[in-house]
Amino acid sequence: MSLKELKAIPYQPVADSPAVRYYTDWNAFEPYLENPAPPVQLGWDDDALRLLNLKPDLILKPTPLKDKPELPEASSKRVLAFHLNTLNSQVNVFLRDTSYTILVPKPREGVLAAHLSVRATGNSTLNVLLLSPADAEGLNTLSIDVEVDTASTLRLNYIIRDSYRAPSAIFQRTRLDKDSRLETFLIGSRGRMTHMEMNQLLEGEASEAETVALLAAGKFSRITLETSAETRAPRTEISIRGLGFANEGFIAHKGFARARRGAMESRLEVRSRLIPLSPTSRVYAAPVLEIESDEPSYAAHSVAMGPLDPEHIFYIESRGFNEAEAVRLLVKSMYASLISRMRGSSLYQDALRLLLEELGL
Amino acid sequence: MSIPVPIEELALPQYDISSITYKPRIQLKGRISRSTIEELSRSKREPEWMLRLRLRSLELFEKLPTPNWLVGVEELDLEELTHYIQPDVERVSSWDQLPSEIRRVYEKLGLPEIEARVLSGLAAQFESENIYLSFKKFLEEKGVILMDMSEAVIKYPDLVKKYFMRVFPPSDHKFAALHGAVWSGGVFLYVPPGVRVEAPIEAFFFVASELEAQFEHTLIVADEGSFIHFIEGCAAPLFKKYSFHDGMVEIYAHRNSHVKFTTVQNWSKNLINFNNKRAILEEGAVVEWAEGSLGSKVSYVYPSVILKGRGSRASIYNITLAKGKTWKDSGAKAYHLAPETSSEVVSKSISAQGGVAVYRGLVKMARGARNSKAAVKCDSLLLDTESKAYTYPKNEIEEDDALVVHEATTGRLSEDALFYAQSRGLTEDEARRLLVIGYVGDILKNLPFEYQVVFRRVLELEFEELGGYG
Amino acid sequence: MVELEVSNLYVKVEGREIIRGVSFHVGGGKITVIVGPNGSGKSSLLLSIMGHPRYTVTQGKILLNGEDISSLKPHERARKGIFLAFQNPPELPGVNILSFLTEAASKLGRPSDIGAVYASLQAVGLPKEYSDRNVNEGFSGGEKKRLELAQAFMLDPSVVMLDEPDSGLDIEGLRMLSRLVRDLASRGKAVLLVSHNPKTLEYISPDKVLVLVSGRIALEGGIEVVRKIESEGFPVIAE
Repeated sequence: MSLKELKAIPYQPVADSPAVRYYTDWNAFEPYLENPAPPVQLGWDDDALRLLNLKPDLILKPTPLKDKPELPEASSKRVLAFHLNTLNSQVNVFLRDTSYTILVPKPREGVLAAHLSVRATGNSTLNVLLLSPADAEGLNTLSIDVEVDTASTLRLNYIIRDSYRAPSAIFQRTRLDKDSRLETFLIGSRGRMTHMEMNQLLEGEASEAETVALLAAGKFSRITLETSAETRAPRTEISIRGLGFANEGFIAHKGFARARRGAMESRLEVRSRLIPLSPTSRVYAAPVLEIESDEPSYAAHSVAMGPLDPEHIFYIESRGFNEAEAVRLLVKSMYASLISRMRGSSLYQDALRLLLEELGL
Repeated sequence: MSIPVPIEELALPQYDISSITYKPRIQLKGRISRSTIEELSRSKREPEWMLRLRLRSLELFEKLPTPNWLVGVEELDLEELTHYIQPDVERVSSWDQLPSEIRRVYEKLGLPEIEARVLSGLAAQFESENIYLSFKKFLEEKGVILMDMSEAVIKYPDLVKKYFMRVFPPSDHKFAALHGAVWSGGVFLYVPPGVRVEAPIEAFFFVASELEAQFEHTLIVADEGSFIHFIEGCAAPLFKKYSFHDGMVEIYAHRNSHVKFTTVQNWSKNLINFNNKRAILEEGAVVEWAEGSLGSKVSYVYPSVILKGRGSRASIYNITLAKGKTWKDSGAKAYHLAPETSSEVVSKSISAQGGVAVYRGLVKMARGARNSKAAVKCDSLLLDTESKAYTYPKNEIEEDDALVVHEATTGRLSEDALFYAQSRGLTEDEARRLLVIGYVGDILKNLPFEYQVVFRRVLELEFEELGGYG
Repeated sequence: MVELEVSNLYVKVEGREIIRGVSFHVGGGKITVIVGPNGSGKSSLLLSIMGHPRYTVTQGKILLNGEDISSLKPHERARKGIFLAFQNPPELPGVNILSFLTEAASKLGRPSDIGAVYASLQAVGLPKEYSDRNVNEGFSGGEKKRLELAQAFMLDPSVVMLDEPDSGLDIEGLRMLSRLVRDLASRGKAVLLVSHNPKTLEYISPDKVLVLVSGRIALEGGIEVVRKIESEGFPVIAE
């Protein structure tokens, strides 16, 4: 595909009404689209890895390609088209009742465009780590196709702390079979421009997809998270919860929940809580509900954006904590209360520190 | 038929009645040329600045892209749309010419014959009725200017020029530009400082002929400390000749003024309706938009408020019915640009028989909107498996001392509530009707009482035939 | 012995003057009760002493052992030994009671082990398992009040202010409250209690009663003040 053809594709399909705006700073990707180069010096942040107490089972690197994956949306998303065109790493992962950790390294220069094909059966956990050195300047694009087998459970954990200097884009699609369950836990902290699209298709009856996303954007960080889930099968459940704090950074959370015909007695909810901690912070929330019949038994979304409750801060200060300590306590507790919803893992507690560090707390 | 069929079910093609009475004065085909606009402006004896505004809008109309988010407008080729700019169409000139089904609907609605005549277009006769004349006199004495827009352009050019399409510029989007080029009819309302008009101005009865227009422009200017309540439209079904409507309402609320703008619309189902509505609020001003949208086939209406002045407040209430193959796209936009501002949006839609109700909203808290609040509640009720509800809100916060909450629920009538109502003696249909009316109840109470009554009755009629499924 | 003195205090909130020239002092080992009609400024007075940001001292002083604390931040006042049991304690989702109390206690240099937490909970009749819960989350009104008192025990302040600790309590609760309050006083603390309910005072036996009306002290004395109010109502203060 030539650069000209690439540039003919819109960044993202969007209605061109006057109020439209891109939440993602696509300019950050342009230099790589114009000059794609192979990845040089793949590296990661070893301290962060040690903090999480995880040993990678696989570290991505350039590989020969088997057949190119089918990414139908590439025809309407420029960066995804570029990714498909530039693909230089491909891995198939089959998980059966096991836990597996994949480390996605960041190139110092150039582009690492990797595709993961994952099939999960039984009770499995997949950790995807993107822990970039703070000053790496290469681009990461990652596409992930996940299939969760009948009556299986997959816990999918993303821990992302990207570089200040370069962007990353992650496109994930998941298909859930009958009676399967997907628990996605995502921690997104630092990054020049981290664009993530997580898509879940609940095809099997009684499947469940629960997503908890914890985001933190300090100065210079921009995070755009699109979490979308669609069901057309009966008795399915979709729950998407996003909690983000911006301390001079930028966070956008788009949460889509869609029920097509056939989703009898299904339940869908999207909840977004975004909190600006300082005057130049920016937080955007766009929760979407598309319900195409009266079959679901529950479909709702809610957004709450605003500062921390000053009454709560005062209460904590009255017990001897100073303002910074009170804010830290509240932020940490709010993150922690979402973590407690996910079945226990110390990984989450450790990952919390990455978030607090990003916020300067 | 023994049951009057709600208006959109009537098999009458659009021009059955009009073929007898309709005489187009100016018929526009193909592209809208400069000379057409010039002729239009000349025939209205407009000042130079208005002609220039129209021409500039025409240029913009030609330049701006056709929005790709429209549904139902692909069928309409704008370039070939015939514009009935001069609303000189004669409506049904006698009560007897009205189809019996329509008359029966009016009877069922319990409308007095006087009002029914108005609805059927006998406005000219109606405007001479005494009670309305004395109210008009009262307004004049207070210095309130209420007249059709074209007249106002000639009589009060400086006043109109200050505001006309300053609240909603033609550059905003293609249909705003179209409107700017070919607007005709509509109402100009100016309320002087400190004047409070407590009784609502029911525009339908005053200037009905003007509001029949396809591209009507309503401009309301509330000067400092004034109060006005303007109601347009009516809940009873209305037959429209044209199939494309692109109206505009601009409200400029000066310091500490209070404007309530209520629209009740039940237009025929052959209609594609755009209505560009926006208000600018200065310090301490209050604007309340209330919309009850029952008819039309496709509609795009997003009342918007720009909270420019400190302490200004706005509320936007919407009831939308999408019944049958309709696409009702509605919503609200609130831009908070100043401190201590607040906005409240409550939107309730009902979809049935394949109708699609869409909510599009935007709440923006700009830097500087300190201590401001926005609360949005948008609920959708789906009455069967074919109906759909799409909700697309956007919330953008750039101020750390502002609060935005948004909640939306899409669902069906509660089985428990239906059972409870039935256990108290209501039939299933009655229970359904009761709950549907109850669902919109809290917004309905923002309409003046008579409108509530008619609205409720219209809803009930709409749902009379919806019984027996479950 | 600790001494809290409020001297000719004027306080404004949201542009309105809510405390207008209030002076009194509370000494260690003594119980002072403030009563008054709704809106008289009782809670505001306690919140001002604790340093709530929305309240501004426009005149006068708040002296703790002779030191003016009116410009100190809330946490600084807490570290100097001031404690407020809130009238409507907020729920803090996700904030675990055990870790909150141990951290707060250790900041104040008090015993901060799990045993101390259990002891404080037990002292107010809350099961020690409550330490696993989050602060006030899902607590009934009475339980919230008890948790406030448990915190007073844990943090061992020298001035204990209680904002309507008696509202919503039954006889048993009132008895427990008065026992705890007398215990605090007997340990040398200065206790300042706002009450709505003259009945409470029959249990508590204050050393001093202050009647606050429209932001001013209208009447002052011992328990006899209460009987006077019961028979004559609150005094009216001319504006």
